[in-house]
Amino acid sequence: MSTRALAAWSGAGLVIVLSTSNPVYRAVVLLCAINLLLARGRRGAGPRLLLVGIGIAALTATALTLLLSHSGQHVLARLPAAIPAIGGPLTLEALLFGVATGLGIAAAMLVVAPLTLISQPHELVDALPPVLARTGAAIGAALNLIPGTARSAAEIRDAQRMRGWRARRVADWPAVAVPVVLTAIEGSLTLAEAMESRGYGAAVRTHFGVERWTPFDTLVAVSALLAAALFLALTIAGQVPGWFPFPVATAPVVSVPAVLCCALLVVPSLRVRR
Amino acid sequence: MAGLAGSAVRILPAPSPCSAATYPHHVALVVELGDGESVGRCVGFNASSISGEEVLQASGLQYATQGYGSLGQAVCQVDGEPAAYSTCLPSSGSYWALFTSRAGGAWQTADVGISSLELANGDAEGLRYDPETGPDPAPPSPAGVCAAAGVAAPASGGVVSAPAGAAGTGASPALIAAAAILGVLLVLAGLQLALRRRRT
Repeated sequence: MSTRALAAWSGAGLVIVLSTSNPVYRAVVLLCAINLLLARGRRGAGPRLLLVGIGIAALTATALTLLLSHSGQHVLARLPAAIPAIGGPLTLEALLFGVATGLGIAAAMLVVAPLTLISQPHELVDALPPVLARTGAAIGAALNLIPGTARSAAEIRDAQRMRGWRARRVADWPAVAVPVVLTAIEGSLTLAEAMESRGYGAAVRTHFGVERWTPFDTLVAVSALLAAALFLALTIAGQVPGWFPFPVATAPVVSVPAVLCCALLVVPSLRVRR
Repeated sequence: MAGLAGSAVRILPAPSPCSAATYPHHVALVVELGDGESVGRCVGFNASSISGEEVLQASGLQYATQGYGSLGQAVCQVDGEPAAYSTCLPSSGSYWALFTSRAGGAWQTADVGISSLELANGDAEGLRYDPETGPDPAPPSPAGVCAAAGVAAPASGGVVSAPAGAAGTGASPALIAAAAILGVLLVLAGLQLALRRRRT
């Protein structure tokens, strides 16, 4: 699938998730994203780590809302009022609102995850319009710096340990930090030389392989943009009410056309990668 | 009697012609009296919006108001409560607090008088006889008031309200449809997972 079609899909999903507080719509988008990742995502530690991170973020949001928001009529438990900030009643309404917030965070993270879990970094840079090619390359290099530095730090730490180094106090850390910084500078210079030797900036960027735009990509992009546009139009028309469980929790008000808009995001999952 | 989310709301039939479920637009009215009893009414209308005072008028409940300049009319008396008053909004003592709920959202205290309040389809108007002492809760949820009054869904857009624990109303068709779509997506995810494992 084309990275541009995937970017349109992610953008549409993000627009829907961020424009509503209703957990039903968020859940539909979340399931569409899970379907897409299962149908086309890479395997390995990356996706697992991302899922763990999303789970932690969602649970943290739920716990914080439950502990800090003391509104609502159905009290589940009470913490001593003497405890600063979190002391007071823990309510069912706060718990439900926390779950909805966590669902929103998870859905927002999962709709953009395909850009890294399905596409390769060079495909993302290729997908940018020519005007943004240099910006994309700079962002790509900057993003690559973080995992590169982490790898370098782990290697240098292991090498120092083999020489008998132990991190007993802060004063010991320069033995690792200085080589890491020097390696990062050296890596940057090497990258610059490699880019220059390949003629970076001398002419219009060429591509080793040109990504094909297929009718399926058109279907994915059009359905995603249509879903986001219709959802926004329904929201502006007041047909997609949000959800707020305070002071008394009620079931979310649901609009069938809006749910169908969200469900349109399942289109790219309907063709499985061979 | 329909219990709504822990608070008793007595759904009363609105007097004709406003009780007609055939009206394209509806506004729920919840009035919490001083003794804690709540009355719910569903008011139908044809125009794109309706004023808060028109809703109260169409509900058939007795009421009295007093003008407060540019803010509009304040509610002084509803359903004979208080029996008598000298000042509509006394500096101390009970008064009628006005709330609005926009499109199924939470109750918000109104920032204008009832005559200046504009309500659209799906909104709700709440009145609570506030003793001005102790806690200051909002009126009971308006969810289900129009459903219980025989309005299955507003005509425009298929939005259906489904209050939690609403006696006798059950899950709305829209919520069932949404649950069905979520179920289909879950099954599809299960199939994708099985296919993914089979490929390895």
